[in-house]
Amino acid sequence: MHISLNELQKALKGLVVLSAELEKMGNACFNQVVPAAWTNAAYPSLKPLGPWFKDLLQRLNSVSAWIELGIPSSFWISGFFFPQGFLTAILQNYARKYQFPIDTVSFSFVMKDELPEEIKTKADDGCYIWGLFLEGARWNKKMKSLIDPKPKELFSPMSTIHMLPEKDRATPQGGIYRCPVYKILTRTGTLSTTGHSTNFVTWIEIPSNKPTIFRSSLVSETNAQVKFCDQDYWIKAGTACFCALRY
Amino acid sequence: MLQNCHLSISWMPTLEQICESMEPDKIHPDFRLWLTSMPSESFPTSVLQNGVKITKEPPKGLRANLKSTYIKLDNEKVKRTNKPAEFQKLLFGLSFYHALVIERKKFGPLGWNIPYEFNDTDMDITAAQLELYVSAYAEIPYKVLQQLTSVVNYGGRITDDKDMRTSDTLIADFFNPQILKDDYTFSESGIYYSFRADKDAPHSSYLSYIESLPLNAMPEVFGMHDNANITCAITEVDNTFGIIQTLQPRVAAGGGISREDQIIDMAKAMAVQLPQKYDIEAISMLYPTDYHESLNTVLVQEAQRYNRLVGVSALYSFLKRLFLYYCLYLLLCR
Repeated sequence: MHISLNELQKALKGLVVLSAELEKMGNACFNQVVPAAWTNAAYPSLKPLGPWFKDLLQRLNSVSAWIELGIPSSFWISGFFFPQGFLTAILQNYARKYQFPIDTVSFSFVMKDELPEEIKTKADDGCYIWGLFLEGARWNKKMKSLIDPKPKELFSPMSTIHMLPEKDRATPQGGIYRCPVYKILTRTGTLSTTGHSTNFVTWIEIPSNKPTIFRSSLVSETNAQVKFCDQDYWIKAGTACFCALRY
Repeated sequence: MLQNCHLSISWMPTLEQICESMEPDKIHPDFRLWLTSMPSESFPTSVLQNGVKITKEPPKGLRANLKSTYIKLDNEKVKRTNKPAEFQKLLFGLSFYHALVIERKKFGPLGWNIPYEFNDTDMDITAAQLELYVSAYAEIPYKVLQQLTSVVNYGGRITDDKDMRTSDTLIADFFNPQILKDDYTFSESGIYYSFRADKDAPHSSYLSYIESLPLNAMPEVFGMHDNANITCAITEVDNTFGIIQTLQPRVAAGGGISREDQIIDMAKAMAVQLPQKYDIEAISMLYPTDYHESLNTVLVQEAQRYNRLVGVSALYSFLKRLFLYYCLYLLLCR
């Protein structure tokens, strides 16, 4: 960026008014914090300025790639501003394709062994998603189950997941942990008028061989009063999935 | 003696005036003013600075928490109801649950999504209900007790439904028929179990059992992996360093690159890398709203959101202006 003195002088007028704000920006840059003006227009993130900016470029790249190359074969779930909207669109596609009422359609979850780059073709129904991290547990490909994390490994990558819509899906009766997915590590968010949280994205079912318990459904799961199977081992461990980490 | 100053914020300026108008020569030599307050921003700084400060916070840790519950009880209180043996076990279970929900907070979001202010009143009301229900029914209504405790009493504070699930899961370990067995353990290690109290002196036997527990509870008692201790430590260090950073001097102490140069470099580096805004119209042409492809709509909406962020109002112009501003600043200085 080449800036001549001429331009500098022209800018002077506007700059004086904004200097307090710019001063704050400068301070933020110096302290490696994302300036408030950007945070306000952005998705939630806990990253310091450097990683934040890198993450932003990565997100922009993924949108550009979609524009240039067409709908991707697998989706980087962390790159969405509004992943809930994306998941609803997947459900809607399925419902329209088979002419089902959308409220009878819900996701089932297939854990894939393939890495995202190994997936070359789009899913016939639903979609492949990747980019999630697990806290408080680890995904074991061979056992096809959640297991305890390695010592000192706080976060581990989750496998690629096939989000597969199904009509009138019967809720599983065991062998899964119902895992909340959040955008960032703080877990708590505020509810917007659309009923979506600023942080909580969705529930996913992850296969696991721990003992099963049955519990009443929560507000964020369904409006109906049903019993869900779950695993208290992972509930107590605070196990959850995240789209993005702190760094 | 003035208690709970944090509850009368509007009167604090008056207090400040009164304190300032006191003349040490004229007041009685034995006069002392005692003030108690929770940490509060509106507590007058000058009063704070001129006084002797004593801070009190409840001791941390599972054992300390259990102890503070049991120190308030006595033999008569733990022997109540027409089924004292059962009541004792359940009361200990409840105290344990109480300690768990409070101590889980130290793990940050890993423990509770929101740090709730559970306190002794939650425990007191639940203990009173426990006494009532154990006495009133021939068979102990475990389900009712679970619901009352987790959903009504403690749940009254819980606003995130994911936390409700945690609380329900935790209480289920304590209010169930298994707890009446002496070998029923509360966690994998087996250190914490459904203790059988001495018949004649139940209270003191509980106290000595609590005394025998480890001072620092391992994460396993919460059902967590040992890694949770690292999470806990990282959170603490982050907070401390955050405070230290705000105390750093703004001016670089000689040598090296100046603060302004650093900011200019960063703004420049970022401005160069930032791509242009998306051409929404072009994208809409390529990916039109289609009955059979809802993802087109998703893409357009996402591009619009990113445009808003990258757009003139937010990022790009700010970087450019920031850059200009500091160039100007340097010109003026030199």
